[in-house]
Amino acid sequence: MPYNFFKDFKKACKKEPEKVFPHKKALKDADKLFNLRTKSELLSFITSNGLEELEFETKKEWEKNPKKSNPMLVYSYEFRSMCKLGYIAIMRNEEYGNWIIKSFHLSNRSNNMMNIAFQKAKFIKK
Amino acid sequence: MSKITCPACGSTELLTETQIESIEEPFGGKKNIKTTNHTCELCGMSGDFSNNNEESIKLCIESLKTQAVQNILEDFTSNHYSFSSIERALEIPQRTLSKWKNATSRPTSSGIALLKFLRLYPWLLEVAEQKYDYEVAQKIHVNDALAKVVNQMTFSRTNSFKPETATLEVTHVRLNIDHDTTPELTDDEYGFTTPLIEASAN
Repeated sequence: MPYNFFKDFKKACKKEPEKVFPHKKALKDADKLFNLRTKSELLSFITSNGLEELEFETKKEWEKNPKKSNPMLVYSYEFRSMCKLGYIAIMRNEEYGNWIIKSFHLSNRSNNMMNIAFQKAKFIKK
Repeated sequence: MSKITCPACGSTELLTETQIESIEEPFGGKKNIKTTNHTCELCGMSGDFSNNNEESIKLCIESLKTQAVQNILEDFTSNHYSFSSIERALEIPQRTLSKWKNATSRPTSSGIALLKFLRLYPWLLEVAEQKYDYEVAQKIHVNDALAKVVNQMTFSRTNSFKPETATLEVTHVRLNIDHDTTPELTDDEYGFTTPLIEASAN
């Protein structure tokens, strides 16, 4: 389910980019941390499988939703891009068919990069 | 024109602001552009809800990249690198760089990336000149790194390793050895007698 959600999101990034809205802060972080300077660069990165080793992290209700009758879920994922561990949070407004990129920044686990590298090399256990 | 709504919650209670955004490009400088930003007063979602900023940001980045290319090429000229020799070393068609400089043709993104690398590491030209030979490339790289390290080392008395002080410290240690109690004599494998002293500095 979370991976299907992301699949739909990726499809929207490719076919209906005008329906995808990155939050201002997410776009700033994408520029600052990942050299993705515009919305189109960010969406193109997502559609061309730039988010490697995507792992679903959590799903929770959007806290700031003013319309409680239309509950929206925020899905968050972690990914890797070269030596960077990233974090993306997305949600969808079913009523309008819009996708929101809530966050796009480095993962909190990114300072454990060596640890993860050792796990992958099977030097240490998970 | 349809009314702009918040893409997250659908509210029309939006705060629209014109902001000055600063865009930077390595070697190209900085430019300020005006962008429109919407903030939803209900849910706090913020961003470009009308998808209008994209084009102006792209244009600005493009003009800064053009400026970066010109700056880098001017830098090569002022450092006495001739365009024809760079083109020969890189095996790119002659007059390519002149065309980029005069803006009669535009370099691709990869061309711009190459120029930035050459500006940062001009020794890559020498690597190309040596036909990308791995061993030679390593030597060129190490030579450049060593030259940089040596240039950054200061040999003045205040900032660097001080052999004079080091000698004084050793002397100081020797002076503090209590000769009456510590020396013990032992024979080493060569038949010399050596005092076993544990030097302690006060």
